[in-house]
Formats: sequence, structure tokens, C-alpha cells
Amino acid sequence: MRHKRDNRSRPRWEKFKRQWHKFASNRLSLLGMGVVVLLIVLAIFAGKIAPYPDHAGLYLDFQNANQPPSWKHFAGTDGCGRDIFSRMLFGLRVSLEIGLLVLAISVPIGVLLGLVAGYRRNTWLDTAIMRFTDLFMAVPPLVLALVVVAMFTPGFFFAAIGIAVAWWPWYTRLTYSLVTSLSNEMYVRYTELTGAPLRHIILKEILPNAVSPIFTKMSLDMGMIIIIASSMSFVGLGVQPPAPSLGSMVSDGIKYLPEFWWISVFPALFIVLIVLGFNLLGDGLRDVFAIEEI
Amino acid sequence: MQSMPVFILKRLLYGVLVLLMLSFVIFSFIRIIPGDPVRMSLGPTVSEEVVQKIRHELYFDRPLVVQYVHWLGGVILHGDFGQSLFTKRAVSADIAEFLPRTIELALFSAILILVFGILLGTISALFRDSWLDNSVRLLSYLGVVTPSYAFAIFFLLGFAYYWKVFPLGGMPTLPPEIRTTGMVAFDALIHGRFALLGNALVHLFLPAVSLSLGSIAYQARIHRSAMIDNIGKDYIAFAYVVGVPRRIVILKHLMKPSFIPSLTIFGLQVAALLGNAFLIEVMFRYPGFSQYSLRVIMAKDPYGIVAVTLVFGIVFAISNILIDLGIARLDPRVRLRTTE
Amino acid sequence: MRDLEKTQDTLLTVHDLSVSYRVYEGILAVLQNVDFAVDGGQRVGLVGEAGCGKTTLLKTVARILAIPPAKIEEGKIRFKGRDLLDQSKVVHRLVRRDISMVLQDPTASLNPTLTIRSFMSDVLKATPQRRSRKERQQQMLKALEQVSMPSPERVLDSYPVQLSGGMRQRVCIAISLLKDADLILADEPTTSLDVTIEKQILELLNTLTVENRKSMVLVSHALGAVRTMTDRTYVMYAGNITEEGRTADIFRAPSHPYTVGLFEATPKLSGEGVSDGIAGELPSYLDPPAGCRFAPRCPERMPICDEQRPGAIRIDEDHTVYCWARANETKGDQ
Repeated sequence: MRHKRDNRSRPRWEKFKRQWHKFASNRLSLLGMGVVVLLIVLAIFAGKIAPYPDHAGLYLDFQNANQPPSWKHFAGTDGCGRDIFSRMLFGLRVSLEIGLLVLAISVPIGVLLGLVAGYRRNTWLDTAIMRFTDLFMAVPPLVLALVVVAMFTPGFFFAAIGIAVAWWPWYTRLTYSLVTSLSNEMYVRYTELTGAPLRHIILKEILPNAVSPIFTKMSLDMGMIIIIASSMSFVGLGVQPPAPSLGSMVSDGIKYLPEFWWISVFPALFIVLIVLGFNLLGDGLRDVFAIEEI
Repeated sequence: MQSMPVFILKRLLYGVLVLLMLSFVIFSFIRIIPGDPVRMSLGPTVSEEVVQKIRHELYFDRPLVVQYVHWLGGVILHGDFGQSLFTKRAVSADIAEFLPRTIELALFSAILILVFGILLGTISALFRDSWLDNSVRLLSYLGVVTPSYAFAIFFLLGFAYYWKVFPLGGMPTLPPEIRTTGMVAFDALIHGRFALLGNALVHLFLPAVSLSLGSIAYQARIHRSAMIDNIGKDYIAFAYVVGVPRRIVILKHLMKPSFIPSLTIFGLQVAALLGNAFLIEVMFRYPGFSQYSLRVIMAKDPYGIVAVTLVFGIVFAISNILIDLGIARLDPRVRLRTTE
Repeated sequence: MRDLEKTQDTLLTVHDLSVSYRVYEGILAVLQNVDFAVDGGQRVGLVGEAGCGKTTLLKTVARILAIPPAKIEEGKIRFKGRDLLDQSKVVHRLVRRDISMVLQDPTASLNPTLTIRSFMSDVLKATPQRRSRKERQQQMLKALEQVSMPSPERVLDSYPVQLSGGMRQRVCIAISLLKDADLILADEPTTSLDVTIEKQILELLNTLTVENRKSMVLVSHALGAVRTMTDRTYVMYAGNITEEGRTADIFRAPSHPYTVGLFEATPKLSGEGVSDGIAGELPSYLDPPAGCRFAPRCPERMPICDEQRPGAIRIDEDHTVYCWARANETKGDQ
């Protein structure tokens, strides 16, 4: 890469190096990134790492039920005799998958609508889109997600759809305000004056500058989405058993409080760890890109 | 230049419009999805005739628009939200019973968030980089990443099971003779039943704290960063240099503009409260509206779901308007803008 | 350099002040061994291009410099005989009572959430005199009238966002005068005002200083204003004082090559024409030149200029220049 003296890519590489330097100078951000990377690795290789991979689904061994944490079972066993640690790893995978699915659905839709509304500002299209987002923001996100799930069938897929339905408006709002403020910048005006096509303006001028805030928000959102997804599983409307989900693990364990506390506590702590990692990462990104309102 | 009443009116009207649309969307969707809620609620043994009769009574066999208009008319004119197939009684009765309790919980939590969030954030900002600041920041960080039900678990384990300081859950019943708002603590207060008030507060404490802790943390962070941003502003330096005493600069010149982003976030927190109350009510067996909503949603109760959504929307809209009012009072730039 | 011993009448003495800023890329060495003084009842002009450190100097004296990231590397400041850098309560009160400042950006100076009345009454309540609400109202109106503000009652009840730029600037000036300070630091007080108002404001400042024995530091790049409104002038370049002395002397016979270039670049009524300006640009504060900071742009540059910072050369009774090229023009002792 160093051999090509490409004038266009060099300043971008320099910029990236500078941003990385700034990011890495904050130890907390590095910690966040480390945690997230670790979690991703754990999730991908859950099958290989988990000591009892078949405990992830249906498994009954009442003799071993409700065992406290030990070397054999790091987090103890639950009411069915399943190893909680293994289930946590698979639950992690499910959580990450839901998060990604939600973002994969809501971000493109939200950003697209935001771009359209922001660029065609002060037209009926703009008003229509923004009022549409207001509609979806009129109710708390968890409620909306639950209603959507209830209308179909509880499960991984519809839980993700439900959350995505509640989530996309935020991206539309964010993109809209970015586009609005960016299209006021001089360089966009000049590009317009040169008669460049709309597609070009959006792709070359606006999007590259909008990527950082959107990306930061995505990282911060992962934590929130995982919390909401786990809350839905907690009340039984998220991922359905016997598929492991951290939220349902916590809720299952409640009836065993306080004697068999580990059944709820470990998955709950794990959720905290996951969210912590994504939040630290997101905060680090936010500091680097010096964004104010996310 | 807009005046306040116009501002409020416009927002109210707009809110009503949005809620109408929302209710229509939900209303239609429930009826479009497959499955027969009437049959589900009555069970398989009931004869088809009875099912048809009930279906007719509840208007389920009319065209969609007719159903909606009928329902809407009922809501506006009589406060009649229809019949719940789940509780087998008028939805409005359900609302009247359960909603005040959740409002009470939410109110208590909201007060905690506002007071402690701002207090901690202010202290943190004023003593920036001291041990006080750093511990507050650390704790708030942990607070933000912990879901409220996790807090609930820890508190239950700690304060309810081990150190039996607080009850495990539930709520004392409100004697019908003093029922005014339906909120146990509030009604007890205004009727001077202090024993009941104390009992209610004790039962409210853990749920409210679990619900609000994460939000307190977030509020503190936002308020802290707002204050730190504003400390460096020229108008603070100018106030100092022109002779305003330090105490007043901090309490007035610094606080006022910092409240603007803080209150905005507070609005979002309230929304989150309403959503998270679900889990807390489940965990503490708190007989509130969110629990009711959950049951109704899971039962796919048509009138119930719409009513529940509408209620959430209304409460949300009202709290948003109140907060926007607060912000408008603080920030004249908001008030004086004629168009957005 | 003025003798520290002759400080009987001196209100403010800045001696050997160096201030730096820490930024991401490194340390900006902005002010470098600055000597600056103001007597009682004296009007002092501070002239220089944007970015030369004038505001930093004023902010340091007013003690509103943001200490991290800024840092006072060395130097002493004495105000009314006390060490201004001392953090004690006594000095703090002294500064808050007797030094006032008009900041460069009037819009940023006014708290957007407070009415003008609210702000002004805060200032008035902090002054030692006790006034009733009515008296305060009178005082506020009078202050606004002094700066030729139209409809002062309406302005009092307004928020900054409702006022025009020029009105905001005048409000700032009015507020800074409420305090009856002995030293007024005015950082570009008339930039966004039109000429007639500017004249009135400058006359107002004039009256205050001359009649009430207040001192004023006027920072401006409007050389005409400085010329007519000040008794002494300092010329700054890139954080250094390059020339100082009686205003009349400086304007009549500018000595430092920078001052000369500056004056030549200013259009004059005599119609002599304007020069092309001074070639080059301000040096980097991150890596400033070791010697004279103006050397890279100086038409009279000599080898020693790049090696050593010039010392003070006295060319007249009250006219000092910091330039190696003038080293042979000393009149009398140094």
C-alpha cells in the first residue's frame, strides 16, 4: 500500500491513523474494543468453547439440577441440570445475532428515509416522513416491540422485527439532522452549483461525513438493543425456549431466588458485561469523532 | 413570536393527531392478523353460536372502518375503551384500577431521577477530576450498562432476602373510601393516613430505585457533560469578569443553560421508565398497568391492546409536552422561533 | 522596559509574562516574556494582527484564562501593588471589583437563557453599594443610555437572541461599565458597530477614563481609534511586544519594521496609497523561531535576528523598540 502514491487515498489513511491514535489513547475505549472483540470470538466459537454444548437446547438431568458454581460448572447448573456457563455463551451468540439483525433492518431503512427527507427538505415528502417517524416514536420502544411481537408469533425473528420497528425512527432523525446541517455547508452548495447529479452529492459529499455519527450510534445502540431483547425474553415474548437467551435465563432463575441465586445472577452480570463493552466502544468512537448529540 | 398558550395548543393538537393515527394503525393490524381472539378467549368447548353472538356484541363482525369509528366514538364520548376479552370486563375499568399504580411508580422514579441525577451530575462537574467526580463517573457508567431487572435482582437479594429491610413485592391495597386518584401513597397522603403512606412508600422504594438507578446514572452523566461544556463558554467568563459572584455564576448562569440538554434527556428517560416498568412490575409482583398490558398483549386481546397502546401514547405525549414546556421556559431561542 | 521601581502610580504591571497552551499536537508557546504596564487614569492601546496573543494577555490579567489547557510559564503581574497570580480570596475580590473586561465576541458573551435585566441585576447586586430595586432599575437604564441604546426598557426585558449584533455589543460594554472598575480591558469593543455608534462608544470610554481617572486597555486593529484614544501604545507580534511608547511618538515615527509595515498597509486620508501588506504569515507557535519571531518576514533581517531575541532598545524618552536593527539608535542609557 505504501508504494502507491495515490493522492486520494493518502490523506484518508493519515486521517484514519490519527483517529486510531486518538481512540487508542483512551484506555477505556481500548478496553471496550477488547471486550467486544472477545465477545464476538466467544459467540462465533461458542460451540467449541462451551464445555457442555448440548446443554444449549433441551436437556434434562435432574440429578445435576441447581448445582452451585464449581470447577465442573463455572456458573452452576439450572433447574434442568443444564450448565449455565455453556448456555450463557450460546445466549451471547443469540443476543449478538439479534442486535445485528435489528441494526441490519433498521439502519438502512432509517438512514434511507432520513436521507430522502433531509435532502428533499420542506417538501411534502419531508413532512410526511418525519410525521411517520413521530408515529412510531409515540410509544416507548419496548411497548411497541412487544405489541408487534404479539401480533405475530413470539420468537427470535419477530422479536428482532419488533425492535427494528421501534428503532428505525431514531436513525431517520439522526440522518435527517445530519443531512440538514451538512447540506447547509458551503462545499455541498458548491457541488450543487456545478450541476452534479443528486446521487453524486449524496454519495460523495453527504454520506462520508454522516458515516461516523451513524456508526457511533450503532455501537452505542447494540447495548440498548441487547437490553431490550433480553427484556423481551425476560417476559417471555422474545427468544423462545429451549433456545438459550440471556433474558429468559434471568427470568427463569427468579423463582429460585435466593437459594440458587447463580441461575439469575450470572446471566444478568454477563448482560452487564456485554453492554459495558459496547458502551465503552461507542463512547470511545464518539470521543474520536467529536460528536455532540447522540 | 409565539406565546406559550399557542405553543401548548399546537403541541397538544399535534399529539392528538399522532395518537389517533397510531390507534388506527394498531386497531387495524390486530384485526388483520390471523387467529380468532374471541374463540381463543372463550375456549374450544363453547358453541359456535355463542362465539358468534359475542363477536357481534363486540363489533368484530363489522367492516374495519365501522369498528374503528364505533370504538373511537366510545372512547371520546363515554371513555369506553371496549371490552377486554382477557379480564372479561370493560377495559376502562381495568385502566382505572391499574394505571394509577404505575403512574405512581413512574412518578416516584422520575422524581428520583431528576433530583439525584442532577445533583450527582452537578457535584461531578464542579469537582471535576477529583476522587468524587471519578467515583460518580464510574458508578454512573456501571449504572448505565445494567438493565433495571438486574438491579431488581440484586436489590431483592440484598435488601429483601438477606437483610430483610424491604418487602419482597406487592403493594398495600387502597381502601375504597379514600380512593381519589387511585395512587396509594398519594391518596394516603392527602387523606392523612400516614401509616398507610409509610407502608406504601416502603413497598414502592425498591421497585422505584431499581427502575430509576440506570436512568439516574445516565442523567448524571448528561448533566455533568452539559455543565462541563458550558463552564468553558465565554458567557461564563464574562459573568465572572464583570463581577458576578461565583456562587451565582454556578447556580444560575451555569445551571440554566445546562438544564436544556439535561431536560431533553430527562424526557427520553421518562419514556424508558414507562417501558421498563414492565419488568420491574413483574419482578416485584407490583399490580400495575404494565403487568396488565403484558397479559393483554400476550393474550392478543384486541380492545385491550389498542387501549394499552393508546394509554402509553397519551402518558408519553403528556410528559413530553410538559418537558418541552420546561425547556421552552429555559431556552428563549426555542420559544421565539416561529417556524421549525 | 519600565523600571519596576517606578511603580508608584502604576496600576498594572506585567513583567516577563510567558503563557502557553497545551493542544493535541503539542505546546503552543504564545506569549513570550511580555512586559506591559498601565498607569492610573491612563489609556493604553494594544495593537497587533489576529492571533498575536492580545486576547491571551488580557484574559490572563482578568484572570479568566482557562488554566488547563493554558499555562502561565513564568512572569509576574502586579495590580494595585498586589500579586495578581495569587489565588487568595483578597486578591480574588480585588480583581472582581476593580478589573472589568469587554470580550471580543458579544454574542458568545451573553448567556442565552438570561434576560439582560437578569444579568445586569446580578452584576449590580454584587457591587458594594446597596441599592433598592428602583435604584437598580435606574442604574441599568442609565448604563444602556450611556451606550446609546434605543428603547432601553425593551432591551432590559429581552433575551440576547432578540437583539442585533451591534446591540449585543453595546449591552456588553454597558454591563462591563456597571461595575465601576478601575481598569477596563476592552478587546475590540467596536468591531461590529457602525461608525457613528463607534465614535460615541469611544468617546464614552474616553470620558470615563479621563474624567473618572479610570484606566483602559484598548485592543483594536482600527489604528485610527487607537491613535486618537490612547496615551501609550504597545505593538504586539506573535506573542512578543515589538514596540511600545507614547502613542503620538509611535504613530509619528514608527520604528520596528513590523510597525512600519503595519502602518503602511493602512489606508490614509492623505491618499498616499496602501502597500501590499507584509509578506509571509505568523510563525507557528508550536515551533517558534529561536530568535526574533518577526525575523522570517522582516525586510531588515540580520543573522543575529535568527539566533537571539532582541532586547529593549530605547530610542526616545518614552519609546522603546525590540529590534536588533535599531541597536545603534539608542538615545541615552538602556
